[in-house]
Amino acid sequence: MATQYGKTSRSYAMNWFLHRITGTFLVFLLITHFWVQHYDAQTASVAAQVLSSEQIEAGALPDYPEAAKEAVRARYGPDAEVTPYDVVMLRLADPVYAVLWKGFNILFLIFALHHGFYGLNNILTDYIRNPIGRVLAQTLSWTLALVLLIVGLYSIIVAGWGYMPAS
Amino acid sequence: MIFSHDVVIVGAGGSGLMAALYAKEGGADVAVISKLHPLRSHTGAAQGGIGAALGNEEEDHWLWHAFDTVKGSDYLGDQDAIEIMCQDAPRTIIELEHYGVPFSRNKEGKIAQRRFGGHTRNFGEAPVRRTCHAADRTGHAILHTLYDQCVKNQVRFYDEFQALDLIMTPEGVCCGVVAYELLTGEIHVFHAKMVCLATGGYGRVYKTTSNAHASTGDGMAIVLRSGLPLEDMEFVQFHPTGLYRLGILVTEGARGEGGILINDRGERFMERYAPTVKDLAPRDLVSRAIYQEIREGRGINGKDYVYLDLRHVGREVIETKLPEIATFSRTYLGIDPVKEPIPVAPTCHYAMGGIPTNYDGQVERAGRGSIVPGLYAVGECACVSVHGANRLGSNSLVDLVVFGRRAGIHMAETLRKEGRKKEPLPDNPDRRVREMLEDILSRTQGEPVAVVRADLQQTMMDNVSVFRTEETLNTALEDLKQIRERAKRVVIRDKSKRFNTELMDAVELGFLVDLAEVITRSALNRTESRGAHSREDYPKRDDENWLKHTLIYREGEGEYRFDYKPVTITRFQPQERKY
Amino acid sequence: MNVKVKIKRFNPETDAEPHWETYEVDVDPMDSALSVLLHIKWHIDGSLTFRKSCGHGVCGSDAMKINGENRLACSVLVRDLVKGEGDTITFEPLPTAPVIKDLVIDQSRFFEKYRAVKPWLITRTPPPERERLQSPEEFALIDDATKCIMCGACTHACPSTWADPDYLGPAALLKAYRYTFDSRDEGAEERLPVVDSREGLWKCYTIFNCNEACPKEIDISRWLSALKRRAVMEAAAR
Repeated sequence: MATQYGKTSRSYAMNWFLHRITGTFLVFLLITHFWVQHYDAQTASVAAQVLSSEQIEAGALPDYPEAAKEAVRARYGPDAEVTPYDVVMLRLADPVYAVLWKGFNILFLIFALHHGFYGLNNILTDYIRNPIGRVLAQTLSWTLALVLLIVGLYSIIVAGWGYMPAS
Repeated sequence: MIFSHDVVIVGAGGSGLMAALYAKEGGADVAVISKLHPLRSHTGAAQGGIGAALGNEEEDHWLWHAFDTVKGSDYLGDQDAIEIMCQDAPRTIIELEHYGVPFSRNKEGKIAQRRFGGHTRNFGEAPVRRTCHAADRTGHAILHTLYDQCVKNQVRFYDEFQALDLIMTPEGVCCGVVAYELLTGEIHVFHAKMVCLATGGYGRVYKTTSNAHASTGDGMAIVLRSGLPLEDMEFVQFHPTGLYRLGILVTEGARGEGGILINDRGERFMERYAPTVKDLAPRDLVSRAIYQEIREGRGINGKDYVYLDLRHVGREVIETKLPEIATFSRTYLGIDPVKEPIPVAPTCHYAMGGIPTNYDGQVERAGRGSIVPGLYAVGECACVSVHGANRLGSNSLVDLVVFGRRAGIHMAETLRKEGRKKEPLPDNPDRRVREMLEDILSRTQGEPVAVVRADLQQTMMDNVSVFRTEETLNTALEDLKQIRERAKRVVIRDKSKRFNTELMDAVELGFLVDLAEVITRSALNRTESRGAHSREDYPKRDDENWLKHTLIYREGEGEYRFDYKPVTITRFQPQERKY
Repeated sequence: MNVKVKIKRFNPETDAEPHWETYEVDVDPMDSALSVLLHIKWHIDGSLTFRKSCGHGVCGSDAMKINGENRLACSVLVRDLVKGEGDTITFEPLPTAPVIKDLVIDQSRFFEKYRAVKPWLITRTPPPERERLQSPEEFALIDDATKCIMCGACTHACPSTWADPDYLGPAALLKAYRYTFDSRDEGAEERLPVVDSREGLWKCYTIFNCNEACPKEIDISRWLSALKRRAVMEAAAR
């Protein structure tokens, strides 16, 4: 009555547990991200006030916090226009906030990659049942995750370097 | 194909699995063949519990249990076997517990016990808490645990193989069985040193029954056809509380937990029939009382049922102690037992009679000591006899495990001691089965199986159920004569090899006809009333002439011969049976 | 009332492909779906094949797909399957398992998975003379799980099983839970490596199809989650 089922393998308990943990953290990280990036007028990379579609068609530009305008003008001259990109870069260039925000983004990156790729791998092993196919698919997917991690880390670390206010 | 094993057990309910487990533990090479997957066996439908004088809830003794069983059997039970069963019951329950059976527990963490019909303290004083249970699915808990244990011990199972014949040598030694494999339609021979039948009861002889569709008494019919006797076939238990019209069992545990029976006037009528134990009287008594109420016009709305009232028991007890039956009445009748009484009527439930065996499960050919070498029977298909003329509730599960275990041990020990060789197979051992199946498959003109079977079940229900008279029994015999002829000509539509359940339906119909005839003839023969056998033309128990077991032999088609066997009495002399 | 009964028929002996057959029958709304099938088998077409035994939801023989859901035929009534006269009830075998004939599936894989989880009480300490004590609270932990009748409705309703037939599936895992959480069991060390494996517990994505399919209304997902937590704790302790 030997059975081909229930073959033991290495334990997957911790992978599953991390998936729960990263999932829980991602909820808070996402909320913080959305708040900081899209809603809070003091830090938002978008305009402090929302423009109507007519205003946008008419070519109006959003109004940014005074501090952002000053920083951009100081760098690019008095006529420079402020873009959302500038605001983000400024935040990541700030000597105090940069550490905090880069740390935050690195955590966000790692958790999102683990969470997403663990899920992707489950789907892959659900549908690919030949052992060689599984190894191949998993190697490919985790390699992709590694590449994305490197690209992501690089982007976060170098972001804002050129934006240091020239005092 | 020919399969070869030391021990072949036919049937995988409680007794079959218990025998398998112990024969295997004793070192034998064991195979279990079963027409259903083992977990589908009817043991799983046992609800209320398993009786044993553990004394977890209050003082209790195995001797009290033995007395109740003897009295419940209307003094027809063999007291040596009953003593063995009741003495062995507590140890066996503990063993089941050690196997992992998930018994309900009391506050101290011990196995919980409850009251059941006919189980009393101090030789009949008052009801006692003796019935161990796993909520109201005790049989299910035991069946699953035993199967788990068999899997652990690597018992070889042949699932969905239906045994159709015994293989006997000319000297009368059993050396195997012929079985039909449902999946392939192949006929196989199982060559064995020992065969143990554990094929259960024949409830499907009757129209209203708590038994499974599979309960067609195959093993008993096969034994009868092999020229061996059946014992006490006139004793058929009708459980008092089957769901009205459906026959689905409502456990006696419902009354054990405080439920009462009421008639159309709202009267608790059992107080009149059994003043001491009332609703917890034995089943034969309660079933008769219900029919009496119905006959006298006190059925609910004048119809043929009464109410089982659980409303005062309360939601808490119903949900924790009786969840299954609450679900049944909600599902099938749309009735919530917390708020409404449940309509119930007696339903055919258990065969007290069966294949005569001694208390090690060895089949007897003609009275005490005349064993059939190599053949065992356990469980409901066997008649040890511990239940006599009427089985007490919660005594069937204990019968299964105690005598299943004993047979398993006895088979393994005999093999070890005697180092027995297999008897050579006779020529063409499967000839009878082949011819029978070919005959059924070759017919093109005739009635469908279901029509004939329905007529059989109807006449048995009308004429051979709780109350019997010479007249009704003769009517049944007349009907059965015609039904036998019709059954020989039934036609099936499915002629395929693969999973042909219709072919097996036709074979089982033949078994049912044989058993119905044997039940009716035995009932006609016994001119007294005892336990579940209630002859209105002979209303008194007659110990002078009938304190004996009936043995019935099939001499040819429609021809039978009776013989008798004395009842073993050890401690308890027959007395008038009052509750 | 008159209803149409549409059944997916297949006999590999004679048919290349499964096909649907429709029967018109007169039934009582209080009849079970099993009675409808029996009526057809007994009075219309004897070759219709399905498993059945106890007829009231304890033996687990007749799990099948009825009106698109996995259910026990004997435990569901006609009145809950049709709205009115002339409506259709459909019967199919449980999905994903190989079909033997009509509504009968091959359950060997299902039971192999059950055997894989060591479904028996494992003890090391010698048994006491009397019963092993278990408090009502400890019993309550496994009470629900012991209701399982191994009908297969859950496992064959599980999308993870549909995608990966090697996944142990809810029924086998529930059995593992039933023994692992039995206060008398000392076999977690042996049993957990089987469930904490690639084809084990972690393919349960708490989709809850098992809960919906279970005819005994067992809260399967809840118990599997408890088993997951237990497996994590054991892994952390190693």
